[in-house]
Amino acid sequence: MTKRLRIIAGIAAAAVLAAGVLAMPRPPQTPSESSGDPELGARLVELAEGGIRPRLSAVVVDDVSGEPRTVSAHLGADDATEYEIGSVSKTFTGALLAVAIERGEVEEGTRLGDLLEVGAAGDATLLELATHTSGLPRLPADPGFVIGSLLSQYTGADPYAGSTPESVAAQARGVDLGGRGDYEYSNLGTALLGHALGEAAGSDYATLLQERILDPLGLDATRYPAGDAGPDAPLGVTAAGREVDAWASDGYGPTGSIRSTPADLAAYAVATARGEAPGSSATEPRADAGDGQRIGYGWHTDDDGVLWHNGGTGGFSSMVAYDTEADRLAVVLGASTESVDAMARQLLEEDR
Amino acid sequence: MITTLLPALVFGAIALFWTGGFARAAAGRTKGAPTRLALAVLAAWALLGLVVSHRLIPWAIVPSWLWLVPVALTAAGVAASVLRWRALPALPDRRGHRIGQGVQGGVVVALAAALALV
Repeated sequence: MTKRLRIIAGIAAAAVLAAGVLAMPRPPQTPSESSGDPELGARLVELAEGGIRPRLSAVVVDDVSGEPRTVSAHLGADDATEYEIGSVSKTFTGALLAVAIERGEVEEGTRLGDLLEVGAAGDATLLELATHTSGLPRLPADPGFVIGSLLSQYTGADPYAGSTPESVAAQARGVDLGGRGDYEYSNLGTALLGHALGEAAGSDYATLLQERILDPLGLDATRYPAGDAGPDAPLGVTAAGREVDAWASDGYGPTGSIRSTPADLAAYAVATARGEAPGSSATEPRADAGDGQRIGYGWHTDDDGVLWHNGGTGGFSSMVAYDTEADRLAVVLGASTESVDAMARQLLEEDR
Repeated sequence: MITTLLPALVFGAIALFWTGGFARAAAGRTKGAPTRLALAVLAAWALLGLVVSHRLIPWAIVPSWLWLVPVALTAAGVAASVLRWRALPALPDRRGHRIGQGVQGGVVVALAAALALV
């Protein structure tokens, strides 16, 4: 073995080591400095310990039904920072159902099959879709979709990417309504509900959302990406700190693609809690949801009187909760998959 | 916590298995003499191990310096491969021909999987 060969081997190993050092994982950190309300900010820093949250926002509103007093605080964000709100989108879809009923376009008992071609799933009513009691599964068992979803956890891609209202209806055609009448949380059901409402109005979900909820409430920073969040859309990270794609599909949009800001989402939640937002009656409980919970059009109500919905995407977590007894509301948004549910409930319970 | 730690353990074990396997084979610590082809395949799997551990281990709770363990194993494998390269046959002998075909597929799979993550 020549000396030259040893030198080459040493250089090769050093190169690999140097590349490894340069590429050493540097996960995003949760900012330790807060902005906004100092007291809430300090609490937010405490609550955020132990996980990756590159951006985190909290809004707490007291005396919601009287003269609301709003405070907000942020880590690495501000009132105008855009987040994916995930399944909190379902409450917007529920509100659109309430509006469509008020306008006489549909009824609670309207069959899905009267609006979309979905085969046997067409027997489900809009009420059942909104209350997750249609018997539709959480997601379709379509093998291609299942494989794509599993792969997306590996690649960080949007598992719903490329889906359209038509493709979602096609997926529903292969599904039976087993367990109809029992609560089973269904992204597929809410997606179908949103597109059915668009069909009933002779329009589409994106237009209904814009014209019937976002515009009347002046939620200018809230948007529905309809398949493309755009090149500048803020991205979130996984619990491992890995940046992932935006979830922006149109097909499953009514169930989880809306993007909003702390200020907008809090304004929407307050208006809804006060009964002033379009379709506010969506919050009224209409069916059992297990564990003492009831559910309205998307909105869950706990047995302790807390009205809530949470959300999660590939890189974001969200929670909107309104304690009807304390008349206090909390909105927490995080740009990572670390859950913010407990954080929101904690903030609901604390006087300030 | 367990849901966060589990990926760390699983993907950490995968990374150590692949990078360690490459280092051992390159150092001649495995059964039978390796070939250049076999080492190339193992190098591809070691690369995949590095990518997997880099992208999927929750580094917020795992000390980042641990990343250097599979890197060091890969570096050792590269050094040993360079030293032994000339003395190794390019391809498996006739008896190992089928194995050789299998490992060629392994290169493709490992590189494709690594590319999907990058």
